[in-house]
Amino acid sequence: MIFMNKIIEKDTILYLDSKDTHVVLDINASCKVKVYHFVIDSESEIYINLNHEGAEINYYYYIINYQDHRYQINVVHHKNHTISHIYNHGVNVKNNNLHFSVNGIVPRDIVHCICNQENQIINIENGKSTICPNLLIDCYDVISNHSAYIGRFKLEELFYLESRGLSRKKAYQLLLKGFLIPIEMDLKKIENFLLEIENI
Amino acid sequence: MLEVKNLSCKVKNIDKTILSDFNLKINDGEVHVIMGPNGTGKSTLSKMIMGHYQYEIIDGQIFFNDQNITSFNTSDRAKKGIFLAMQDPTVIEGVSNSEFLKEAVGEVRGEKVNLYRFITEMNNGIENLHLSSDMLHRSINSGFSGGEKKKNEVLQLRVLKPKFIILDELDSGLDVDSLNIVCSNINQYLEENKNVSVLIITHYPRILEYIHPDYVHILNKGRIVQTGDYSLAKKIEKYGYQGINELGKNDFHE
Repeated sequence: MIFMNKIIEKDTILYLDSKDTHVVLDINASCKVKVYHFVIDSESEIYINLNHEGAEINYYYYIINYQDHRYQINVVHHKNHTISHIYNHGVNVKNNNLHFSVNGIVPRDIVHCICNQENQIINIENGKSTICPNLLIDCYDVISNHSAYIGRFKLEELFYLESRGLSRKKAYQLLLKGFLIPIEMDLKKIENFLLEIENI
Repeated sequence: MLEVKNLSCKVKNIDKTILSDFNLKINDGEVHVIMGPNGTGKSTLSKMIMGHYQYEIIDGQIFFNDQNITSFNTSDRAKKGIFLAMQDPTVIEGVSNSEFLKEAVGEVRGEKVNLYRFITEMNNGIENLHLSSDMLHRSINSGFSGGEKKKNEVLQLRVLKPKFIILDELDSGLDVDSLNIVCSNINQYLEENKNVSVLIITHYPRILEYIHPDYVHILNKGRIVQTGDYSLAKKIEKYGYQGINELGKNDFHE
């Protein structure tokens, strides 16, 4: 398997899509990197290496899933004072399997790091979704949080939207967009993904 | 406008009746108040009228402008012109206020939203309610203070232009100044739309100093036990619900 390898040495915003299935990001400077990764029905395997003190990654992964797929992301804090925030949102549309394996790794003797991850999968039908949120932390001086949610949209949210006149379909569309697209996102960059949401 | 006939309901999957043979008729342009101690079914009534998913009708009907809406879903009730300003408005992460309201206006009015008109309406509403303009681009009710949430409910009300308004504990979480602003906005709306009716659900008569009621009802154990005018609310403030029950034996009639 051929990985796309990117070396980053300055503040950067990256946009990835379904074609970027195998990616290695090496962050080799004290800089802030934001990655928006929008995937339609595909596998993904991502490796992020924080190779310099002060390196920071904010990774936003969004998938619309129809078949059995697996997503794996590994973040390795190779240096002190490195920061990772990993957000993974998936919508499992049909009765298939969607698996997230999310690994935050802080080796021994690496200190003062922040290693966070937030994972959510919304099942539209009766798909089997799983999340493995792994924090492999081999030292004490690290701030680390994780969360994992698999389920449906909350009925209270649907009720609120419907009580303002939105049909069930429109309410779902709004919740899906809210879940799969960050508010600050320039929609022109993800027209295909947006279209796919409207087809769910 | 709205008529609730012999309504009995319970929480789904739990065998506990909340409203029992409940009756209420609200005509065009009237302001009614439901008061009562905790746990008597006030908020349940508001949710039942809006078609909340947690409750199940055992018996009775709800009519809106002479149409039986008992089997209508929530969205269709809203499209008919019913608006529930919620006690604790729901937070919805990721969905911006502006996008949500634009969609809602389109659905309720059944036409493509004129963007210029919509933005003008929103800006006017925000200014009148002393809200920060950035709230439009934030997630629905996310990170809002209690006061901002209630103001957001009233902003939605002003933009969606309902015919029948339910205010569920509007004054909870509001300081005196915010309550004044919120109620002034509602009064202005009522002034501009004389046929609009209001149902106020409240524990305390404070809000009634701002929005004057035509009728005050006391709810107890799922049914109305007393009806009066504003003076009844003042008596509740003075004597409490327990005291009113005692007085009621001599002073009031169901």
